[in-house]
Amino acid sequence: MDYQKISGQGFNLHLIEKKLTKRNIVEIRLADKIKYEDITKRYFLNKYLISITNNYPTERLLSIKTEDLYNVHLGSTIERIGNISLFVIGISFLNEKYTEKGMIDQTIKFLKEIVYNCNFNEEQFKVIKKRIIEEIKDEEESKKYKATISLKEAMDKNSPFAFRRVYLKQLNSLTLQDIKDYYQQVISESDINIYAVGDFSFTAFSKKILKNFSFPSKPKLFKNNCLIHNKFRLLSKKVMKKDKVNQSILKIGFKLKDLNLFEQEYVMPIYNEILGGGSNSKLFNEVREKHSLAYYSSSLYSPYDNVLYISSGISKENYRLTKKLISKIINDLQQGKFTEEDITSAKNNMINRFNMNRKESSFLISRQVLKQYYKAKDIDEVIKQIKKVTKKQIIDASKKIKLDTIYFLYGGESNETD
Amino acid sequence: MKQIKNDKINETLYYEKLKNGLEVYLLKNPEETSIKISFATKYGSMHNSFVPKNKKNYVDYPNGIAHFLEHKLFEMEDKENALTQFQKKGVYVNAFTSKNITAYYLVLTENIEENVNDLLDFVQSPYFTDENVEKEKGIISEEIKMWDDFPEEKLFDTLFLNTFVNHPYRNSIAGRIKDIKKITKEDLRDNYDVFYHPQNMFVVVTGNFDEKEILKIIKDNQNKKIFDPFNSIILKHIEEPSKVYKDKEIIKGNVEKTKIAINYKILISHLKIKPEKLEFYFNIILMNLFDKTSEINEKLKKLSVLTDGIKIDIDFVDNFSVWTIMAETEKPEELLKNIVKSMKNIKVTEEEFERKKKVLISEFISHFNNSNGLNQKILFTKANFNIDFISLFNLIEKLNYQELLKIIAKLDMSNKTVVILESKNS
Repeated sequence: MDYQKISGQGFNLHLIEKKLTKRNIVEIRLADKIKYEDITKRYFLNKYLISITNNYPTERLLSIKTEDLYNVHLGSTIERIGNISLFVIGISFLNEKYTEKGMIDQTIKFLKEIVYNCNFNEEQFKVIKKRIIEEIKDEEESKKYKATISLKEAMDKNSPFAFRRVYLKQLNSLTLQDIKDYYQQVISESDINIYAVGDFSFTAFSKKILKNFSFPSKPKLFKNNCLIHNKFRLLSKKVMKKDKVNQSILKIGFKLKDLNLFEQEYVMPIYNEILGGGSNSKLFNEVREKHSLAYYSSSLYSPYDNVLYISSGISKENYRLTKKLISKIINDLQQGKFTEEDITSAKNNMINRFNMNRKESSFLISRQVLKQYYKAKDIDEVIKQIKKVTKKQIIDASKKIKLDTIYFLYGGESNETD
Repeated sequence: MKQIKNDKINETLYYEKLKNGLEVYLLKNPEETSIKISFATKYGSMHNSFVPKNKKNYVDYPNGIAHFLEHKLFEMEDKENALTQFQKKGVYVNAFTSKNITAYYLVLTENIEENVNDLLDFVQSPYFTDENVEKEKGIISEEIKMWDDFPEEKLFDTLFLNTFVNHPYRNSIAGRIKDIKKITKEDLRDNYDVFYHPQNMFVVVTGNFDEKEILKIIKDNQNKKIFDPFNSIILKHIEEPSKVYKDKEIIKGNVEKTKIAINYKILISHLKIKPEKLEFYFNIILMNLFDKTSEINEKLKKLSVLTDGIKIDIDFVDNFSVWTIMAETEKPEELLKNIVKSMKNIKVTEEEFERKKKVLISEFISHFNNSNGLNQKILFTKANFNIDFISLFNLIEKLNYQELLKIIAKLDMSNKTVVILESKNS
């Protein structure tokens, strides 16, 4: 059997078989609706929880333990999909046949220690706080990141798609007690799922998880998980920002209006692929290959956010020409100026990507997550539907794209020291 | 076809050298859903001074030529660009150039024969014109500018520039804009003719496939082609001293936080140990000194000298090994002082050695979980050490504490270069 779902105490356990894999993964995902005011403490707790425990009260001792267990990889992250925020803690470890007998039990015991035996203290609180401040500074250095977040905030600061990972203002007013309280809140009020992917006996492994983990929470149902936009600009907003960049960055944001489910899941991804999905796309061919204006020019579609972005790295003086080209491409697509070959190629790229990744542990888990919160289908069904998409459907969907904001981060200072 | 097996990790590497000299490495994983195939040449950015075909004297070609050539090989005569052709078929294609290797690769789920042939064919059909060379200069100039906006790239480029006095390893992979502007189609042809001969190339296939079928496809493809006889590649001999080019440099950049990078240039010829084995021992030393399990790391975090981790890397260049240590810090001089102190007095206990060996074993075995990453590991092991990846496992198992101690005793850590990248506002 390759998948089984079992109810545990306060959580659901999803067992996914991956034969012959050398590493197994266990991920705990605690889901809730995203709340702006909780963003920073959620991120903070997520970092803090995997740093120290009562039995491993320093990061050094915790790291030594991970090495003793044949280098288990412990990680955590916050993932947002539409309106849902997922608090994730995960561990990956070698199959016991390559290590020593009893390693799996020790590893699960270690994960339990992380989840339930966190050592909350002021000193470590300050360490994590300082680390997050450094991360924020790092982000400031990345011009691409800056341009992306600035575009999103210019589009709609109050919508979850424009939320940052963490806010300095919130961080400055956070206390240790806030984190401790929030920990209690997260384990009692989230919708909790544990995913185990690997080469193991379902019966034996599920027994170990069910024995070691329980939560005070109850499974929850979420509604309205996709972001829906109600306001659309008649005239696009333009933001021009000067910064110390060698290569200027042009970012364009679009909102999508009234896509039906089929368009959202199957049609728009194909449109996005044709527009700017790869080196066979219109953006790549026009902006980079034909006119040598850019090293990259691509588009990105976020289905659960109902937004689409275009990005290009260009020289400052090519702003108008690039903008004009992009506008022409968008109009051409709306008028159906693309071929059946373009459509077939886009479909093949997407299907190829699905097939390449379909057995990856992270992909297997994310598919389960999307099925649960977004009623996503199995990959074979997705591929079947993609193949059915027609040119007319792509043209119809392309007319639902509303230009919102154009953001241009320009500089032009040469960093070259020759 | 040879089989190189390892029963402990349950993996088999298939190998064959074809009549034209092309080496083929195949490693299967029946649980994968795709195949990754790389076609590589033992030629990278550092190989730009050599004797061209039918000539007698060395020529120095512009820096960045290997990378330029990689871009240009996608161009085809009387056909669409190879990148576009693959994309239209839904095939993932990409390429990269490093200091000592250039590789072109596909990730496939179907139409194996057609696509493998197309990969081999496009790399082996060079097409250079004045016009397409000029056009590429614009694109690569933008790429260079894009990388110039990544402060860490600038830091590493300066670091290696200052590490070596004469060796071309010191130059950045893409070159500078003024370098690539000099490149001509004749230059590209000269480089291609010398380094893209099958005798200097190899293929690596990982993922889910039948080894006999794949080998046959590759053989049939190569048998249809005629290759000039292979002449030994004569690289300009570089005399590289032990000393570094420059001890210290402070550069300014668009960074919020100061970054420091140090290269230790360590002579290894007297150790008389194969570099592939040395790399494991050196990794143990550096991990033990600087990773999250180290006392120094913990102490420096407590003193707020470090907030994040220390990155380490190891290279082998001729008679030297270069150890790269990089970190972000508000106190670069203090961090430097601590690093130098640790390097002057390297210590590893037996317990630490055994624990790090577990880490090496785990990392090695984990590579087999991902055919993309595994493919790259096989490529780099071949390019760096001219050996097959699987045999490294036996090396790891045989690492011993006494040998490590002997190596530590003989290391000369007196040559180093430091680069500090500060904010332009500081």
